[in-house]
Amino acid sequence: MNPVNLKLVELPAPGTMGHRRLVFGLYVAVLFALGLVPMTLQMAAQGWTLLRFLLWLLFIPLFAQIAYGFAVASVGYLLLRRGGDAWRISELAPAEGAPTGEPPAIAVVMPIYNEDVGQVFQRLRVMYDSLRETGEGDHFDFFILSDSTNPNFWIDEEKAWLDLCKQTQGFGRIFYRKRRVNLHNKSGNIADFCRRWGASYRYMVVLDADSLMTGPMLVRLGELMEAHPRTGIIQTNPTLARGKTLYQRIMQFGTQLCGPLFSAGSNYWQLGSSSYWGHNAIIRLHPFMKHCAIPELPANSPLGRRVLSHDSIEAALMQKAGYEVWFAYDLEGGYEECPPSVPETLARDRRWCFGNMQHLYFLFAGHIRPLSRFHLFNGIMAYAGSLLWLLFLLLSTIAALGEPGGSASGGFAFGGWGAGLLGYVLALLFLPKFLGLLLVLEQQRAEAWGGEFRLMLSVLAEMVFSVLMAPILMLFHAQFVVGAFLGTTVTWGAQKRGADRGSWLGALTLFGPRILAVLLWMGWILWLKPAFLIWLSLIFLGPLISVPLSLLLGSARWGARTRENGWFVVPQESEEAVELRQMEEMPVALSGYFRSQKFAPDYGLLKAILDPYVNAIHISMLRHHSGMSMRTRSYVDGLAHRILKEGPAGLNDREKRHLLWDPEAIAHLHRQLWTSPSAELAEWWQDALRHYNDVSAFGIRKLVTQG
Amino acid sequence: MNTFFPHTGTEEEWNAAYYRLEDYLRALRVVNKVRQSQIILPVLQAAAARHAQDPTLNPTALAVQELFEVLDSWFARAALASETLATTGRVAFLLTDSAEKWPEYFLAEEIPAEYARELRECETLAGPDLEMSSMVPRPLDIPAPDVSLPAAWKGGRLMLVSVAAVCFGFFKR
Repeated sequence: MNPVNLKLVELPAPGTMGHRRLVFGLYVAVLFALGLVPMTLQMAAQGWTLLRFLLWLLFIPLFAQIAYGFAVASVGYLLLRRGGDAWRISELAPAEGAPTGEPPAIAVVMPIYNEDVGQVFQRLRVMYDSLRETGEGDHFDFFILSDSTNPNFWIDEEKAWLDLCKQTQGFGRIFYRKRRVNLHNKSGNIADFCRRWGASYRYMVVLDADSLMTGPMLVRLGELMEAHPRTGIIQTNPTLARGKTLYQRIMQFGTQLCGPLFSAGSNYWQLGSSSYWGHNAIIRLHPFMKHCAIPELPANSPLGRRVLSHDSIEAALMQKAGYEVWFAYDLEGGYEECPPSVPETLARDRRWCFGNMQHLYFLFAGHIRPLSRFHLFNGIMAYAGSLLWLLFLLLSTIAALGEPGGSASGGFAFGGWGAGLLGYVLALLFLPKFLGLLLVLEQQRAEAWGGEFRLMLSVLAEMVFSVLMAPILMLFHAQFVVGAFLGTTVTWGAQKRGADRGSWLGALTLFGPRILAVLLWMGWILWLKPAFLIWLSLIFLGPLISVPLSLLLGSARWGARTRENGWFVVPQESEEAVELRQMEEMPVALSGYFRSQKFAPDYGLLKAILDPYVNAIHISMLRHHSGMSMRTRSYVDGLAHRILKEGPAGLNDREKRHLLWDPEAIAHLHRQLWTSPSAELAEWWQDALRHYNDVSAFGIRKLVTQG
Repeated sequence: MNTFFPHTGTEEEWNAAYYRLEDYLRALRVVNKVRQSQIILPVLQAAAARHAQDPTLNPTALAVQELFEVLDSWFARAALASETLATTGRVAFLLTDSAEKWPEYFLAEEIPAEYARELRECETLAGPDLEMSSMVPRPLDIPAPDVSLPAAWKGGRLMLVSVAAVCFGFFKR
């Protein structure tokens, strides 16, 4: 690792940074004013009423979001068109006094929670191998930080860890830690790592369960941190990849086409005051441990006490401590995956929304830097904006239907300023997509996107997708925001990442209430002023067809079909990176054999007790309690006795976990089951033993056949 | 020829014991049938001797206990020093690919020096040495919420009143 490798562009002076922000701020203000002034004039021309005033108030934050988005994308386009911004962390000269001696120790941590074990460990294998190929692997240690509560995942993870270490000779480099108490979810998991091992490392690369980073990228991040000692966090820009369903493919197409514009534009004015997304980032551990532990929310908070979305807060605390947070948007070699379907996205958004609403407290906390407050506000508005949009539409409807002499087009007439304003809003919304397209065409990279014609058609199709999806998301997000303040409980659940389009019934249950609400809304309009319906028809269309649309988007078959026909092609598909290709070469999961319907709920427990190797691995990874109290010993022994007599059905999930945490009980059960004559075993264990023997015999036959 | 004619227990009981030992060895990935028989026969003989002393004991239980003891003593002979010999031994056996690489030496009298070294050198370190440090949240000047507002939201009253006020204000005109 050598900071001298870095290019020599001087860090911008604080005055220059301020100048950039001023220019950018003025640009946003002009774009905003070009919408707000006609809106105000229009309202004034029609005469101010309470309703129009409310519409005008709602228009301000909604249009500000649109203007800001366009400003970022257009600045990004101009920068990328001329080869990129000179002031990006990857191009800056090393700071004076940057260490050049001993290479730093870097921990790569991956917190996991009931994730697909095969996928997770294959990602780690790919990253570990890629890192070794760089020759810099000795400075990195990998940590799998498991919070898995399901014994099936837990036991599979242990076996997968051992296999990974064995196959890569990674013992002493790849570590596995299972947390007994999942305090404070992911941020608590990371904090627990920091308390145990943080002092041994200078930097920590945080991954998500679906993150993939190449070895060169990991090495480069270490170099950049070494070169810039005042940098606390470097966030990379992971590329959405490996999409299988139609939804994933459209999402990865859209984000890869326009994402670079937004990233470059954000970096233009944020520079060292960027934000952190919670993964695919490198963190300076010492200040992180000293300053970034997240405090709880006040005791009487309606949003709970424990913060669910930790990333933006950690970035804010890092900057509050005087460190910079950079967005290395141009570094290549980082990937992540998109949820496979709309329902999975909504489940994830519900958690994110709740977490972002909690940021309201930090928005007004003392000593937070202005730009950090902006990031927090932006995160809140990402969801609260939907509620405002819904209110805007509802008030527009009331205006159109109820206001004496109200026009058919809502609270304001579309003659005069109105039509121009609508065109302006639509232009700001959709132009970034055309700028993304233009950039690809200008840089003559269309071939990697499936060719010019297919690319253009894909852009148009993606716009149709956006138009249909936006109101669906609006209805859900608005509900999530209101739900968060009404005390709806949100837990940090595992994310389903595999392709599964779901059922008609499931989709109908999810989308049905919104379809009904939209039908009532339409009925109301049809009853009072049918002509107004045309203005909202595009808003209503998405929710009305949400059931078939969701099933279509979640379909892996349609995903494959569009790929075969050259639709929504992204460069990663046409010029696949080695690491992504290796992800597709996953070894067959052995545990698949054990998942017969009867034993599926408890196959982890079954293996931990019956299989001599899994049993030994599991016991060897548990801490042996020499000082367990008589009462606890007696409780665990009682559980062991019950599971022997009644099978796993005799224990609840918590009791099963207690049992699995006790090495003595698991060793005892292994011996007890194998030494007991079949007739003396509970029926479940008799069947389990028979099934296990069949499975192991099948496995051996397979081995012999392959051998 | 090495024979097995137990004086106590029924043929059915000893067959059951044989099958259980076979199952366990297969679970250990010892797939060679001849090798399985070579291991099972002396284990059964030792179990039969114990059964003759106390015929109330079950042959299957005795046989598997005997196999566990054989495994423990073999792992100890392979110089695996651990309080949890059975566990360490099985993990070492898995990590060295003993079932595939050293099938003929598993539970054999003679343990090649290289094999013994491989078994001893197996190390499964789940985590490095702890270096405990603290990470404590610093007090942040977080404003306390206005409890009356969320409480009103929670009851849904404020929303109802707001909607009603807006509608009233509009329709009254």
